[in-house]
Amino acid sequence: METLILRKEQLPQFIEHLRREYRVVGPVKKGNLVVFAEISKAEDLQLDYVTTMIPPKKVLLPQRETILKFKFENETPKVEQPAVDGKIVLFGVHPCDINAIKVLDKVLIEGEFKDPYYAQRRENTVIIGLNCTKAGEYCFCTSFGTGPGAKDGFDILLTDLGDRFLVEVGTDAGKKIVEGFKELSKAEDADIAKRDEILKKVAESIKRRIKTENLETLLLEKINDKIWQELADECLACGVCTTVCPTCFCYGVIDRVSADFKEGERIRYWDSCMFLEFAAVALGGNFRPGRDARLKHRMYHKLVYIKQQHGVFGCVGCGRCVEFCVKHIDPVDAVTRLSGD
Amino acid sequence: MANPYVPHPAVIKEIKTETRDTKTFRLEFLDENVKKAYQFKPGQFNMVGVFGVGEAPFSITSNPDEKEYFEHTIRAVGNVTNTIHKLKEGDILWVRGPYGRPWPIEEAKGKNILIVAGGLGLAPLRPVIYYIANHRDEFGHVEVLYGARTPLDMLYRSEMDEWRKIKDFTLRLTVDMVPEGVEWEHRVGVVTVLFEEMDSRPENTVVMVCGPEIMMHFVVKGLVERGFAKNQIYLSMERRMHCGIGKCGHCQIGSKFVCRDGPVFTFEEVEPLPDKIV
Repeated sequence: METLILRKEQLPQFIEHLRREYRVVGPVKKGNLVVFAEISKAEDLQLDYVTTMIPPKKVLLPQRETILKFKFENETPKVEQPAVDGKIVLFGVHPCDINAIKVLDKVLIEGEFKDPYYAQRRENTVIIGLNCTKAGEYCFCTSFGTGPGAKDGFDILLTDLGDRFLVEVGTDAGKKIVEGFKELSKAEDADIAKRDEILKKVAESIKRRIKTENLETLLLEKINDKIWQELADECLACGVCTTVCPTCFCYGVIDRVSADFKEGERIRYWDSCMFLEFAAVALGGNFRPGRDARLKHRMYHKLVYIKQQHGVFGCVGCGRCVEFCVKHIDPVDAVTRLSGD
Repeated sequence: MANPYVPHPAVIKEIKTETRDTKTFRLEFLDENVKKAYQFKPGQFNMVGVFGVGEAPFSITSNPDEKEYFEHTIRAVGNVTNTIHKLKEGDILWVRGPYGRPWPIEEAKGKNILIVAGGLGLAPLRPVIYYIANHRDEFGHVEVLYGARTPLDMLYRSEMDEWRKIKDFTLRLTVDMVPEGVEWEHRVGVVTVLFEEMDSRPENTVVMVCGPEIMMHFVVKGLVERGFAKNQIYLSMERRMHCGIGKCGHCQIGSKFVCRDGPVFTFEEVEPLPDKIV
């Protein structure tokens, strides 16, 4: 992999370079939070952020999007497919979120059917990752090998070395971008050593841990453990855990018609398996009526089911579901208690 | 890139009232190319919708060897189904599919078939009966056990005389209750009472079951008690679906997507799953 150096004073030029071809979306300060938003200049970026509230999945799988438009012109409505937005650079994505996008790719692109909107956005998106130089209170990425450093899943990867960024190139798309920006210099072995030293320190600072070996067996054995009811008694079923989860992909679909009944849209929106209606069926049936069943479905989906389906964990240890949960319901704590440690 | 969310218009050619709340809709795709390319297997489903109201999954209930049209038997229970019930012949429905894992027709070749259906659960099994009639020599003895709430809730009663003419085909019927003034010459009781008189034995037999989950629960229990193996019993599961193609997450039961990994599963596959009745 090619390694280069971008000096920090060159960042504004580098962003300008990106903006010639792409819209650039990166971490931006908003109130007390940092959010992913489109930027127009390097000064907008808040690159020392730990974790955003809403993950960058919102760029690839928007919270609400029109999947079909229809016009009632005559007997048979006319159906149109909306176009997806142009080329985007997702800038400053942390390794947990990069790995989460790899999970979304598996669910939404692999298999017999591709989700066409996600797949097109994904093709149009360049990921410029940013290794973590500090960990947050809730982080546990080291459990899943999804941080603090990224191994793949990026086009370009940056590491903040103080006065400069180490630049690693992961794909041809990334290579094309750095080749078009002549100001980069070659990285020295010492720069790589410094990156390793930083990542090692960050990894050591992360104390929260889920033991992943035999996790599937443990959880399947404990599927009727009383802990699930205890957690469900705390849970408000508000769905914030699924909203902030970088790998949650479930959606609902609803039709909306204009007031004059002349046209309408088929809209999909982030749905949540924590909601009572999620598994409801006709005639009042519901296969997950209890909060315990819903909470368990969510945690098992992340830690067991998606592994059975796609061979990867659906949790990347970003800690958002714990941080933003009103009751701080914590999978790390749950698994630790179940394993008797 | 092909967009799997785009449905195709299909015109309603015929509407047949099956019961007080259930109708069978015969549909034909408007686009000749779509019609030519369309081919379903017994047990598969379509996403059927009305723009402005929404889409829902419906099993395909017609003869799989019929190329001109396909049918859905639909009970009016919710927004989409009540809207569909208001449509007339010549109106348009929007259809995409077929989706899902079908009944094990190939595995059943050369074997006996036992079909156990409850209520609307006969609908996804009707294509199997058509298929058997069309290819009678490919299967051994065929026995159908069908139960419904009342004789008036039975689907396809007008077709049953034809079914009885199929060679080596036994049809046994039961209802939970017979309302006053309704003629009924078959059994009364839940569908499992028919086990007492059935000829089917576990040896060399494929079982296909569909109905409410609580009914399937007791059917499977009765079959296992009679020596049927869990992997020779196939069930068709039903869940809410918003996409039909393994993306929206609504139909997940444990690690299975009903739309993609089912709707037909062996009981062996279903038994360890959470959040179910069967």
